[in-house]
Amino acid sequence: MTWLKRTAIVGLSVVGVVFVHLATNAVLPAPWNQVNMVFVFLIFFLLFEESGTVVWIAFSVHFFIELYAVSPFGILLFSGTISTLLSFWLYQYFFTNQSWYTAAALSLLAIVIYRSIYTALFLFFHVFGYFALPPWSALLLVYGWEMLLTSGVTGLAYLLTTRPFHKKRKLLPVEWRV
Amino acid sequence: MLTSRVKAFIGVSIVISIIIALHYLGVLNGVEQSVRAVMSVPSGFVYKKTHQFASEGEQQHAQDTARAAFDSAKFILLSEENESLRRQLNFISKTPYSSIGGDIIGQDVEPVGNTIIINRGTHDGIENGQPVIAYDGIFVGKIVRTEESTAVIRLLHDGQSKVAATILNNDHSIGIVEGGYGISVRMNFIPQNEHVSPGDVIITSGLEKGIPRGLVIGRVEAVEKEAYQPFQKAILSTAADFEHLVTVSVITGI
Repeated sequence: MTWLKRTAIVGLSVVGVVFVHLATNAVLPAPWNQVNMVFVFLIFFLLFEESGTVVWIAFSVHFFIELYAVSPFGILLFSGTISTLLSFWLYQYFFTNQSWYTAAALSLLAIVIYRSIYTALFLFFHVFGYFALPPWSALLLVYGWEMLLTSGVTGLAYLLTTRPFHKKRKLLPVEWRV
Repeated sequence: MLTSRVKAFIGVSIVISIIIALHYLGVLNGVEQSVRAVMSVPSGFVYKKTHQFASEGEQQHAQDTARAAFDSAKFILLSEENESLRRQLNFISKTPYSSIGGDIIGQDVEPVGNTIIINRGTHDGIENGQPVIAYDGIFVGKIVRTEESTAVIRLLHDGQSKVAATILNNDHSIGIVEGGYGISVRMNFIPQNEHVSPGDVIITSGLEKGIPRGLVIGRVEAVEKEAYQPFQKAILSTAADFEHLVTVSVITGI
């Protein structure tokens, strides 16, 4: 029953975060619409749950978001899932504590990995003539805003959600469950 | 021996590859359609609520602006062209082209794309490449991807947008209108010896397959002319207000 309840909560969270991400993209003015709410959620899930389940959540979320993208199916799904997997490993083996700057740094690294893989795939499709390559200046500007704002929002949200409770979260050993 | 991390990486990659393969084989069509159908209701509501005009006056002003550009193009064409052209210009009511109206239910999530999604698809007769208009004939973009119940429109100011166009000046200069990644829209390949002035109205030329002549694109804002270049460029202000589009029409049966 607990498992069922947990699955239902995760399922609803996936749908919710997809909707929030699409709404953020459509509603907020530039550059605030560049906040990647998916990664804010994934980093939060990773920090609080410390479970490899985050990779499969990333997979589900990016599958849904893929349905709203013009790029060939698979680019967002692959880059989003693999970058979450790599971020999970970074958290598992590199980060040693939990704080607002850990959240911000992890979020920044996750977006850097995500956009690096995305751009590599973009270039791959460009070579085969599927895509016209946007000017690098425009691309880097958008990426820059996304990295800055997403890591800022993640760090701030972590600070706001953990501060009121005035207690340090105990860092549990992370198990490999992917 | 493979480490657990390598195994995990391979495992995740295999699952992603299977899903991508199933998508392209069409096996996931049912699931994808269901998800889109469920998500289109709330996302369409949010889009409409946030993109509609703040006031009736603002909406009226935008419509008047678009109407002025349309009327200007209409006047010039009507006064210069023959009866055949006149029929083409008033395409909304007098031409054989039919149109399908659609509500915008979302926009693209790509970082540098300017696309929108409408609640009409192949089921309604929408096909790739069909032109999309707002109001009475303001060109806003083309269909670039279709699903059974939804379609994606690449807006005019998207970096990958291109459309054959004509300036309503004395030379009826032709060229290609291209988007500039949301930054600007410009018309390229205008012959150097032709006179283009700010304020000139630009319409679709009809020289591109599937795009009828007479859809209003916008007005010339500035002209970039270099003596050593074979062509000149014009920077445009578009007639369509892309920030406040809520409903559009797709021209079909061309």
